[in-house]
Amino acid sequence: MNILFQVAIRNVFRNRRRSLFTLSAIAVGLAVVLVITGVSNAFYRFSIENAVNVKIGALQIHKTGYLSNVSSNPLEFNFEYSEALLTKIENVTGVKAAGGRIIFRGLVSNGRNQALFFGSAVDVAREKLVCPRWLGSLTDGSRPLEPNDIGQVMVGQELARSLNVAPNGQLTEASDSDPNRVPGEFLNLSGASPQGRQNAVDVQVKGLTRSLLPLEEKRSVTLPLSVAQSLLGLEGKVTEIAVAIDDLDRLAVVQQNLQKVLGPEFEVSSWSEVQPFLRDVLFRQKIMISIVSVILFILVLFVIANTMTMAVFERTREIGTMLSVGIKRRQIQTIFFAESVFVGVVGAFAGTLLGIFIVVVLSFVGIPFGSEGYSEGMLYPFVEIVFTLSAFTVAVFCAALAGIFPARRASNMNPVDALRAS
Amino acid sequence: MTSMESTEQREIRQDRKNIIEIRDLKKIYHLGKTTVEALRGVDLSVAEGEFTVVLGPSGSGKTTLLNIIGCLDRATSGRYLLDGVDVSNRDFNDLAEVRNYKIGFIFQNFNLIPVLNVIENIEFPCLVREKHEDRAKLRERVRSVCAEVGLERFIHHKPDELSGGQRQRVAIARALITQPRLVLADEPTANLDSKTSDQILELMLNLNREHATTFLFATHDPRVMELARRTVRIKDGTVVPD
Repeated sequence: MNILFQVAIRNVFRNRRRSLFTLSAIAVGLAVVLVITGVSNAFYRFSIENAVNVKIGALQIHKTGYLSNVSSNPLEFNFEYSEALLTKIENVTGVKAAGGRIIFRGLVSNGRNQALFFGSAVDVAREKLVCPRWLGSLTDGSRPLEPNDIGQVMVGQELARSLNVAPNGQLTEASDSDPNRVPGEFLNLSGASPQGRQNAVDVQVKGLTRSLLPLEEKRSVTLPLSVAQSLLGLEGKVTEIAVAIDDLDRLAVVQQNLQKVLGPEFEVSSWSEVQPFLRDVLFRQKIMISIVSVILFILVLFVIANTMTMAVFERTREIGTMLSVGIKRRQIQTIFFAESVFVGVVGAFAGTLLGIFIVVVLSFVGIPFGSEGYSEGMLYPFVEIVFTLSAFTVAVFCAALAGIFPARRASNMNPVDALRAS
Repeated sequence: MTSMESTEQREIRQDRKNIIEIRDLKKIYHLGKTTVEALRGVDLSVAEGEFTVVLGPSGSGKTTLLNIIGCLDRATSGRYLLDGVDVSNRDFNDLAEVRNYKIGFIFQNFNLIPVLNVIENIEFPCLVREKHEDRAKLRERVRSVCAEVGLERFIHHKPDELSGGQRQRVAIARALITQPRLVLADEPTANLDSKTSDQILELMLNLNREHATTFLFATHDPRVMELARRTVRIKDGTVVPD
């Protein structure tokens, strides 16, 4: 081996405790980056799956123009809900299930009070396959909608409380804390057809839904598609088809293929396009994790730079000796730079192993996550190989960067001053 | 000329080529607002194969002169020919090359590289050369130099496993491995007991005799002065005339 590298490596081992400290700093820093990224990845996946499985669906199909007119008159963008269309959608590779919906606004009344509601009318049998967790987030004593239900609805628990209704007229803990209050179970929904014709229908409350979003609990009514179709004069029509897919990682491909099959009459949107808010929250979280990682790497950089600067000070006379026997400045730089890189590579290697080990253990054990009754679940951290390799490279790069200044300092020493050092 | 030496010595010297030739060498240091004139026009010649001692009290400019002769430092003005080549205005890397090929150093504190063993310390100056000789061949030379300085049994020892005398032998071997034109020794016996000092001095004298290596010492050790064939005295930054 080249004598300069020999000197560098032996110096790393010479001051074991300090080298071990530096090495540990790199290893722990990198391991933390890998673990927080792993947990963040798990949270990201959890959030998307939650969103996709609870309400949004991986993809949504609308008549072209729907999304840009959603706040004015979305019902105008209705389309024929036919078996032929469903077959066409479900035949696209990667599509798991599809179900029609009508999303609308209306007024709900218990005979005395009235409130605004957001209605989600679903094809119950199909919706169970598209958003398996939507119809299941209910309060105790509630029963979910079934495919054969006619005239029965699920109401957000806050809305139910304000209208004093409960499933089957039974008092539930969620509906009221006053035991003398006997709630009813029937409500009247009113809505307007796309042409503006007003209509109303009586429905029975079958269940109360819960949500993490308070506004949703105050406003949501979930009902069978057929009820909404007759209320709104949209018999045989829907405004949206939600689509579940087999593999979320292939979302873009399935979206593209669906769009191709359906043609320009329809627009196929992903969950992130339908819910930009969620996408932005997740994106911001990724940025936060990146900032934390950068800070960790900078700390690591300073630890290495500090150690190497100390080494340069301590070995000043040695540097003088080497200069006196005719070593070039570049060669002095090589020695100190090689030391940093060596410590960096070993530390990064240890950190990668440690980080992967923790992530793997956590991915088997799982981290309990979510609020009870709302979106319970486990986080299973994971890191991608590309990210792991990049983090390793960045750690080594930091070590190299940290070594530049001390190495330059060492190589710029005046031989006379260096030899005089005690 | 500029030093105390016998007539006979002077005649011998005049027959030989000069290894060191210094003319009107000045070195000025700027310490804040004050200016210190460490060397005020030194003239000095040292011939090939000489065993010379530079004497002078501390602050006399002795160390400064030795640093410039050793190409560790540069003069403010004047001319310095080393082995017939002007090295007065060379840049850092050129001077490093000159030190590597032409000068060997022996220090008071031995100045060995602690992470290298004896054999590696000795071969180090040869290995940092851009194109160094075959390592096996070099090892052979190192072994023979080790034998010459009496280190055969310690070649795999680290400096901290050696006595002071042994360390100085390593330093001597390291100074000689490059077959330099000049060996500079700065107080080489200051950290050694008298018996070891004698041995080290004897060794250097032998090397001087056998290889005609030029030795230049800076010392206060009277034994070195006794053995020196020529003494150069420095006072207030100038060489005191004979």
